[in-house]
Amino acid sequence: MKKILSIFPVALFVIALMAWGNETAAQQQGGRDRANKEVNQAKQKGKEKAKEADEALQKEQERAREAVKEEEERAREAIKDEEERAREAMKDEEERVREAAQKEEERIRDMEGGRKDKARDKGKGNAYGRNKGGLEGRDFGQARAEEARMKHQERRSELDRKVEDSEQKMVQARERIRIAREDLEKEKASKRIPEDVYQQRKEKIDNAEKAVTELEEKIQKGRKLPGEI
Amino acid sequence: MKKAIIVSGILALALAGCTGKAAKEAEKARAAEIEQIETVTSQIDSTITEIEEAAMKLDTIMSEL
Repeated sequence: MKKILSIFPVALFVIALMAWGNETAAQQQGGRDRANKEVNQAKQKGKEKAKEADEALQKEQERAREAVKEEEERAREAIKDEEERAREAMKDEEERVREAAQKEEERIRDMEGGRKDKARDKGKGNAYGRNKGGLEGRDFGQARAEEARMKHQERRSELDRKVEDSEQKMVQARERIRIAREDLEKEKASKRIPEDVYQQRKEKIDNAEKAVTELEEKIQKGRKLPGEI
Repeated sequence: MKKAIIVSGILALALAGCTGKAAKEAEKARAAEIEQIETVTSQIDSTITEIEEAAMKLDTIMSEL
């Protein structure tokens, strides 16, 4: 009994120690779990933030690309307009100069030639023949041929530009028509539009297709014309 | 001597006549060339107009699509 009494406090102390140890271990485990959880949450948040940043960056890049594209488009259109204006102005100026020169020559001829010369000139060749601008015979012929060639080249360049522009227009129109047709067929298949609306839209698309074909024919015609004579 | 002068005169006249004829021929050829160029230029002008009209028509139809 005495032995038991002497061992009892020791046993009690050991039991207490074990209980305290278990509790501490449990607390430590709980702390680790919390820490792990927090770390996981932090990682998750980090990932989300990185994802958001990526998305924002992509959006920004997309916007920048769009802006650059629009700017390019605007610049292209501005250049085209400017070229068109310059061409028109040049044409007007040429026309004015030609008219002024013609009037001046007529005036001089009227002053110098009188009625007799006029009667003699009458019926002698075409307008070019009468208005030689100080040139005679072969020189006049050469100048006239040169003028005709220049005019031809100018018009040919204009035609080439028109053909190029129209080709682009044609390609874009074809693509739009294809998309419109696909959309229409999808809508019809899903029965989202009534038959009469479908027919109306189909007719419009067919008309657009015809207009594209017509433009293509004109372009082909333009291409067949000789460039050099 | 007289004969030589006469022959020379005739030759000179013939030469002048031939030269004039050649010049006329050249002028004719040039006129034909000019006419051909002008014809093609006129065809180009009408084709440009046709292309412009067709493009305008296409624009109108596409805007309604």
